[in-house]
Amino acid sequence: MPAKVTSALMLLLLAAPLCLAPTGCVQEGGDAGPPPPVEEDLAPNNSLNDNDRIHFLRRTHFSFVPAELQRLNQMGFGAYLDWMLDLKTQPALESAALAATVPDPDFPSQAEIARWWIYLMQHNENPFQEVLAMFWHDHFAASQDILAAEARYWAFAHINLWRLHGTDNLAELLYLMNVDWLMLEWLDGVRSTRFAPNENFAREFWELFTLGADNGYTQNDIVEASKAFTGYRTRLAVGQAGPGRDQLIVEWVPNRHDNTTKTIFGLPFVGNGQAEYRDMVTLTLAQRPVAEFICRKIWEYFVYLNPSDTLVNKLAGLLRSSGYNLKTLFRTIFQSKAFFSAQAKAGIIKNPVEHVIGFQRATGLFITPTRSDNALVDIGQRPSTPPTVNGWPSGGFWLSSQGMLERANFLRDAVYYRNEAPQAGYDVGTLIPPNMQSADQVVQRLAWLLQVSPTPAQAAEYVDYLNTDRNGSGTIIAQPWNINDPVQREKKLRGLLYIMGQHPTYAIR
Amino acid sequence: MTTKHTKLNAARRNFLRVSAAGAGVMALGALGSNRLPFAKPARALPLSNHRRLVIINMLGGNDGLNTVFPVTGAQATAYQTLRPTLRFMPGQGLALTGGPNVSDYELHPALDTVQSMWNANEVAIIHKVGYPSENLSHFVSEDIWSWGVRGGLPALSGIAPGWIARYANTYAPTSLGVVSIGVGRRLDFEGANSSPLLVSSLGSFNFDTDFNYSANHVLRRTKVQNVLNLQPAGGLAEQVAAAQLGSIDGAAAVQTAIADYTAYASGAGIAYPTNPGSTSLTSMGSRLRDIARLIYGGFETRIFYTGYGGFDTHAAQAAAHASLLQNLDDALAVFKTDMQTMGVWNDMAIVVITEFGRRNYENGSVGTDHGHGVCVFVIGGSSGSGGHVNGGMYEGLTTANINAEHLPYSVDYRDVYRELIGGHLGNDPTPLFPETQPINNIPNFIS
Repeated sequence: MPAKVTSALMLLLLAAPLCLAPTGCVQEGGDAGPPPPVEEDLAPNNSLNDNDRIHFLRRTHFSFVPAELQRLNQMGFGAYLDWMLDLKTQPALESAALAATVPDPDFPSQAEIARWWIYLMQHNENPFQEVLAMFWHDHFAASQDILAAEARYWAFAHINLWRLHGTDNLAELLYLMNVDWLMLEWLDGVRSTRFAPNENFAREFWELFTLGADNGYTQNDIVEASKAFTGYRTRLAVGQAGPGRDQLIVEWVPNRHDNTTKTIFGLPFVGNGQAEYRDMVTLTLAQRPVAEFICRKIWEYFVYLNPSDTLVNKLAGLLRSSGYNLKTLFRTIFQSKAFFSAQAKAGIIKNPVEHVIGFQRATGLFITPTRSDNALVDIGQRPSTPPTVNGWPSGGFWLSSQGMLERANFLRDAVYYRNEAPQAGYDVGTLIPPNMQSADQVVQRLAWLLQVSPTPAQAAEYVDYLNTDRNGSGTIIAQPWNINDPVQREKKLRGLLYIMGQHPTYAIR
Repeated sequence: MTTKHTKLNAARRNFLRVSAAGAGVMALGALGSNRLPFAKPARALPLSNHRRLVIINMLGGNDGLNTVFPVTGAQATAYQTLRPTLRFMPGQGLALTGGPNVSDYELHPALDTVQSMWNANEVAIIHKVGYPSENLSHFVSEDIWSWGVRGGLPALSGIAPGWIARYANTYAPTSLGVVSIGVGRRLDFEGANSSPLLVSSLGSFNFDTDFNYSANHVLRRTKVQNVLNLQPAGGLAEQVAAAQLGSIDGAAAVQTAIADYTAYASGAGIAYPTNPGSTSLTSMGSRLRDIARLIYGGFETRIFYTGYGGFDTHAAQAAAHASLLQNLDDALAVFKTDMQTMGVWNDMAIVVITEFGRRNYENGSVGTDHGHGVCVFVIGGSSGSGGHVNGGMYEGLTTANINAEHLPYSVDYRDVYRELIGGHLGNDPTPLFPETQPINNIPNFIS
């Protein structure tokens, strides 16, 4: 598409009235020029088939789970999106997670925090809530590892920020991030005073969180912004969690704040106390291409890598014209023709959380949050402890030999701990419907369940596995598949899931 | 996305808790060229005439001034004045006067193995190693050492971020060409396109068994491998399959090496130090043994990277520091014997680094705060024809250095690496450290 047409489109979009319900709005400017190629077409795809819906679930729900597809089909795609994007606190789930993983919520351990979130990921009936929380957690990356024992309880609020506000207004999300206690600790906000403003947060606010490196700010802007980000500190609240149980809190101390007028982006930034943490969001959104930066990041996570500038500008225009309504943005993306295009379906490497949580949700082979956490530590992605403020690596980085080995070892854990809660008593045979019990059909069924694509020769290996066994002396013996033999049923279905989980396409979503 | 690591979490700081985690991006070439990223040794014997470098990182910032301290002249007086409780008086440490090299310094009393190596002309000590404009943050300073760049990576776009990754890509482009053990995902390795082996320990680099169905599990592993071998070329799946086959080959090769080494070590009576009252190996004992296992296995590794933490001694330093140095010294003693038994000690250089030294004066908590210039040890077999460690003191301290807040730096850490890569490994270090340095002062400790 010629650049000229694009900018004309952009003007049209920006001039258009707020478009809060994209399905009812003209998104394409169909009158203004030829339609965009399908991989850039944001018009809703109104003719989804089951494979499209499965693709949607794989990208947004850790993995495809048949029951989730069924619910989606019952509700209808539009209604399902409304439900899924409406992030709410879920008191029953959250208290069950706490009861299962954190004995003393006032003083959790690091591992307990990770396990708490893993429990939520395993059991949330709206897995998108946790997928999106991981996305924001990776983007606004802060690790609970830096928290002292008296402060570790802050991690719950930090994770809930992404869980509960991930589809809010972007301005609100940025503000809440700015004053989040873990973030204030992580990037030295609690040590930043008018006497010694610390540049760490100011730099990352633009460089990693809203704009990208060297994208429209100067070192002097950082120095000035660091003065605005002053005034919070930590304090030990004696006895806050009961007698002798002192917790750390973060508090605002006006005298630590630099209330002078700063100059940022060449504009005066008036002293406004605590509200400067919000004013900085307002200023940055108004003056700089935050929408482009955020839209590109979202697109690359959920749809495909390297979207064109044309597409990113179009998305950013939508986000701005909606008043930074993230629900509108996600809704547009998830129902767009582009989201279901061949380019989008070409595949993205699953991150370790998707591998570990997705396999459990898809197969019902759940292992404890503790074992899941151990597996994630081994593969290299423990939720709540990103390695740097830049979050986790992505894509091809995960394809290391050691990473692949640890993914296989997680699959071993999932098939192995069959006599232990939460798996004890689970009949893996329930994954196979009564009319699909031959070896060929079982292979077909589990390949569909895991969404792997074996070639005919690979499928023959799977069938051969079901029809043979290896005895104690190492000889391969014929043992025709019989699902009604309880030993074969347990041994071979678990074995086949272990083998298929290592099909190369299983690492791709 | 730019690659940037401004602040690192405790997974890096408390690296002891980091479990096995690999890193590295598979090369994007044809499947065939990546199918066997683990070069298999022709025989289970250490390669001879194969130069190796072992990097040992003392994470947290080692107190160089108490590791190698002055015992004569005004330097000694200045040191003793600034360290009223943490100081060592002359004779309290280990003399560096045996063998061919004589110095005005003593070693920390825990370093008796290092002293005996000094006496054999096997230890070069370079004091005041650092980089331009000190940064007192652990994270920033570690990154500078890892990148081999002081001024920030963006100025040098288009290069792999980690200097060891650059080495691997240029000189050792196989999975075992450069190896990291027990220190998590070091940034030094970031950008290597050969999927380097980065493990918490070699023993963990293995496929776990389903003990409910052990015999059947063997069949499962066979089927996994058959399916991978049947994967057609093309697309992301091909890259995944290559990484998976790499993990299978790697685990098999490594476990074979462990078994072979165990038989050899038991026959040779080689036993690495254990923790007091326990049969478990010390951290450095375990890691140096893992390195020995790979060497014995005949792999072509050029650079081994390992280390251990705890050097951030802000309070009650004396006992903690002694115990940390003891951990390394005891393990080095066995490692040297092990390497001599294999006949490869003279092909070995070991460099002991840390992200920075500590403040010259002690603080109010009987500890020391973050500093700058620090001593680096280079250790290795000194006999042979060229490329071997030549012991001695290569950079010392002046009274003014000690009376300053920090020891300055007078040797750039990259010049230490240059000497090791050029002099010992025999590779041109030029492409590895492209940044212009204000100080170029290569200490010629390799003869």
